[in-house]
Amino acid sequence: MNRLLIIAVYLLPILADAHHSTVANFTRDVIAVDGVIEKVRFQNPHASILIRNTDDSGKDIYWLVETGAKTTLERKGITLDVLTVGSKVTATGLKGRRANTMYLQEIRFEDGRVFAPDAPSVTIRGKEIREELQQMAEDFVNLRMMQGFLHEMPLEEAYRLQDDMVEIMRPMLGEVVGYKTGGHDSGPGFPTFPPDGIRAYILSGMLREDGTAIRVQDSVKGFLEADFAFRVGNTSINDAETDLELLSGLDAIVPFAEVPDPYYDPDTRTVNGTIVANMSTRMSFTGEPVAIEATPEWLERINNMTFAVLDENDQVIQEGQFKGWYEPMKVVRWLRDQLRESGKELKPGQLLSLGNIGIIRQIHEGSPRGPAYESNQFRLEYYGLKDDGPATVTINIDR
Amino acid sequence: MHRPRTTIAAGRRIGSHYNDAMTPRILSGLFLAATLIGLRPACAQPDLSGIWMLHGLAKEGELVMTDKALALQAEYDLLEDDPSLFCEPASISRVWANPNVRIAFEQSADQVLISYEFFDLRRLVPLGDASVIADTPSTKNVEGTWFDKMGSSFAHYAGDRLVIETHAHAPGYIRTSSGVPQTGNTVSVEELWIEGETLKLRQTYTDDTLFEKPFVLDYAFRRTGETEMPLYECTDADYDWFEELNAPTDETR
Repeated sequence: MNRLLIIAVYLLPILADAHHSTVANFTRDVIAVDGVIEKVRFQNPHASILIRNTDDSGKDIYWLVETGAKTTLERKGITLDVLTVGSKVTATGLKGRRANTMYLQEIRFEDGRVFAPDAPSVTIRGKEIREELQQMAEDFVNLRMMQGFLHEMPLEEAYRLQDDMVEIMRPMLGEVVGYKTGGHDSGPGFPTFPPDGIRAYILSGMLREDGTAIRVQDSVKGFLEADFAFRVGNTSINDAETDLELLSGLDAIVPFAEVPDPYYDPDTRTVNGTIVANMSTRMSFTGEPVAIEATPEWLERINNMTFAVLDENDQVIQEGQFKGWYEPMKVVRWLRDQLRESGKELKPGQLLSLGNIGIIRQIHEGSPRGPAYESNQFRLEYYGLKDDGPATVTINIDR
Repeated sequence: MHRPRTTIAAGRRIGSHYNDAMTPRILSGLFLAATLIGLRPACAQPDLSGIWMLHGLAKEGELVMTDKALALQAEYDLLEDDPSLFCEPASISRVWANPNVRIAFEQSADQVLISYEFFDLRRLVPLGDASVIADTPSTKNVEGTWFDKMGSSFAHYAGDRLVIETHAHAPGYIRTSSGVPQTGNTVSVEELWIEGETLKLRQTYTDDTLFEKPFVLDYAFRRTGETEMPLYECTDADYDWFEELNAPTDETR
């Protein structure tokens, strides 16, 4: 009962969700205290738990373990009812600047239960969420239908769970190599995207070389999507303001097409579920990068480029253009800002896929979004970027 | 040293003898004036209706403080001086910057009412030019306690933006985590506009006694889709009872 342990200096992602003063009122030192719950206060702006620890000499030392606001916890569906007075627990959290205080990360009960309201992946409620994420990841990787994600929560929390999901998937799908977006206000929206846009990770295991042949059975609800991507050239993009400054943080256009695979239980699909499931990103195809320069002339080229998808017989399936409806630099800015708000900085070499540019073909029969694509090639060509011909990326279909 | 512990009601020490009955009379006249001078092009003004919540963190622009500001900052003790400990807003920016709390707007012909879930604040901003500014604070909580650290405001529409200008701040803290101060000389201009489903706010603080250049803060808010504004019912931090538990006893002194 006398343990006070300085564990380490690490930080669970709780502070981003915390009352602002919390950041300043607590250090980054993680400590643990054994004790008995003496009092629980469920209130604003901070709920708190009083824990009595007994030191080696038998003296009682009280610890005030603070957590989020009552209203924030209630919105997550969390109460402190599980924290009954008299329970023996170990509280772990960030050491406070005020003596004998901490900011709660988790409370572990003698029977092994864990309560951690700010880190859903390890909470009692979150333990179920963690299992749900694990199940979603396994279902996705193994081409099984994913259950949706019927939890109400702020978008920020859904993105944190997307982080958790990606952590689960990384052993199977590799390292983060970039990000993708969709549904922003310059381009097409979608009912299960947040209204101002969505983003997801691209992992190395999702990448396919130009011309790779896929089989129909490599996805369940997959579709062929014409996209457009940039490659990050340097970190100046993180602070860029003007379009030209943004462009100077990019070093290439990467011809990009993908096969997302949104195989959700249709009755349970939600906006949060789409975020958490990483937009069901399955396969991403990249062509030969086209080097760009941060000049008005290049901005003009990008904004005015046209494109088309062709089949193996060079027949044009569909054509399109950016002008009038799609603003690439606006989407780059949105994605950059969204990542920054999530505490993520772009790094050189990362891909930024700007999402669907208006040409989609279903791979499978019976899709409500259209008939199955019957050709054996989905070749995306961009015109106006290079002087010596189109930039291309090709997905072949091995039937 | 500890400040006296207060309840919400104790916040009334800040209050003034403001007469609610004055509001409609002043504002109706000002609305007429505002309309006549064309301050509110009805077709362009932003529709801020609904309930919003901070999306991401507030972004600070460059902060260059004067020696006076640095001295005030040095005196600031976060653990004792943060007005939030006493359920009191430290500044307008402090209230905007709080995550996970709802914010609602009610726009009418002659005023904008901003309701903040945080501390149950209600900020009534008259529309018009500087002549409509009240000689009282613009913000009180639902119990009727006035808060002068959020100053006295007036507003107008400029194209697709609502522009709120605030004067007469009581000394407080623009950023409580770092002790960035404000004084009675501080002027705040808030510009609010809608971009898609996002409410953007740019707040610019000027005060030549504190800042070498305007201090700019940017915020974004997303619609929550909620319709209810629950009461926050803030409770003072009050660490005294806790610190007394660990205070040395006669036996341990």
